Amino acid sequence: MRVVEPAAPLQGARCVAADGTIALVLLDLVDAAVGDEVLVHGGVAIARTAS
Amino acid sequence: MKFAAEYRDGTIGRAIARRLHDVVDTDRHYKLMEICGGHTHTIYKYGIASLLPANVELVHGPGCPVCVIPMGRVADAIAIARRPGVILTCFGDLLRVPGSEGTLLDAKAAGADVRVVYSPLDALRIARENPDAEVVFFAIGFETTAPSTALTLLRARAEATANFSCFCNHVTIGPPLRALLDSPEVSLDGFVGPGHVATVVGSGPFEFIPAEHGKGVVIAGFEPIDVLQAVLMLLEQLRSGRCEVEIQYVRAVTPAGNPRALAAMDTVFATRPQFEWRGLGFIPDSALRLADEFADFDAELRFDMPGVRIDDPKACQCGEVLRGSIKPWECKVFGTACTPERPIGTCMVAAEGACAAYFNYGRLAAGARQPEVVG
Repeated sequence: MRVVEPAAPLQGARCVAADGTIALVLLDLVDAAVGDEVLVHGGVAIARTAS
Repeated sequence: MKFAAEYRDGTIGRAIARRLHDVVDTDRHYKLMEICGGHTHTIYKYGIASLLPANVELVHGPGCPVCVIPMGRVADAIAIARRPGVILTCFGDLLRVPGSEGTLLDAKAAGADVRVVYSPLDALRIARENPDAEVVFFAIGFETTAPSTALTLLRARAEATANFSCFCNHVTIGPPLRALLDSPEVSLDGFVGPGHVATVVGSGPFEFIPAEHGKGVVIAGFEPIDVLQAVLMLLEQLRSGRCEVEIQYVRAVTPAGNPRALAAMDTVFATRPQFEWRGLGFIPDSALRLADEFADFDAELRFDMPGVRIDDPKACQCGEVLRGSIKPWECKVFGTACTPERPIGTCMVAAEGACAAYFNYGRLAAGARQPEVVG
C-alpha cells in the first residue's frame, strides 16, 4: 500500500492499495514516509517495499 | 499495479520456464517444498506446476496458520465466545474452522457475539466502543501477523483498555520445519521459503536448513514470477552443488528482517515450551504466549477454558497434506465429504490451505487431480 497521509505513533496512517482500497495502517515498525510503498499485515506495515 | 503486474508477466514467466528446463538433470527427480500457504495459492491459481519440468515436484508445507490450529484451541475460543458479555473477534478464516462442537460460525448463529476483524486494532477499537463488554481477540498466525498483535497490545496497555484481551495462538516457523526435517517420512531437495515471515525474521532462522540438513532455501515473494524464479534459484543451487539460504524477495526481505517488529514481539510475547500443531503433534518452542508483563491482557488467564486435546476426525488427512506426504486430491474425503462449503479439515477452510487452493483452481481442469493441468 502507498502511504498518503502520516500519523502519530500507534495511530493509523492513511494508506491506499493499488486497487483503491484505503486503510489506516500503523507505520511504527518501518521507516516510511508519504509516498512510500509498504507491505501490510493485520493493519501494520511490516516492511517498506523497495523497487 | 505497482509490485504486482510486473511480477505476473507471462512473457517473463515463459522465459523462466524455458530456463528451468535447461538447468534440470533429466535423470533425477526433484522434490521441493513451498513452506507457505500463500505460495501454494499462487502455484495453483497461476498454474505454476504446468510450467515446471516433469521431474520437478512441488509439495506443500505447514505454513498456513489456520490449517495448523488444533481443534482444542478452537473449542477454547468457542467456550469464550459463548460467555455472556463477551465479544470474540477474529480473522474471517477462523469462523469456519471445525472444533469438537462445531465452528465459531455455528456459535455465532446460536447467539454468541463473534465478529470478523481485518486487524487486531479493530478489535481494540471495538473494546473502546463497548466498555461494558469483554472483547477478546483470537490471535493466530506466524511471525507475519504477530507484530500487529504485539503493537495492538502495546497500544491497549498505553490506553489502559481494561476490557480487551488476547487469546494468543501465534506460532513460529522454525520449529515445525526442524520437526519436518527430522522426520524420516519426508525427503526433500529444497525449500521455497516464506517471504512475508522473512520480512520480519530475516533469513537467519532458515540457516539451520543448509547447515544441518544440507538443503537449500530460497525466500520468495508471492507473485507467479517470484515463485518461478525461486524454483529456478533452487535448481541452480542443486546443479552447482551449492546449498544456502538465498533471498529472491529482495524488494521486501533483508537478511536481518525487521528489528523493530522483532523487538515489539520480544516485549509482548514469550515462547511456549510446547504447542500442539494440527497434523504435526506437539512441537517444542513453536508458539508464543503473552509475556508476564502483559498477563492482564491474557484471555487464557482471564477466562476458564476447556483446555482439552481433541483428535482430528479419522477421515481427515490434513496432517499428511501439511507434512507434504500426500497431495490434497489423495485425501480420502477431498472434494466429496470435505469441500470449502462443508470442510472437515482445516486445509479446506483457509484461503491459503492446499486443499482449498486445489479445489478452487485445479479440480475442474481437464484431466483433473493432476496438478500440472491447473490454470
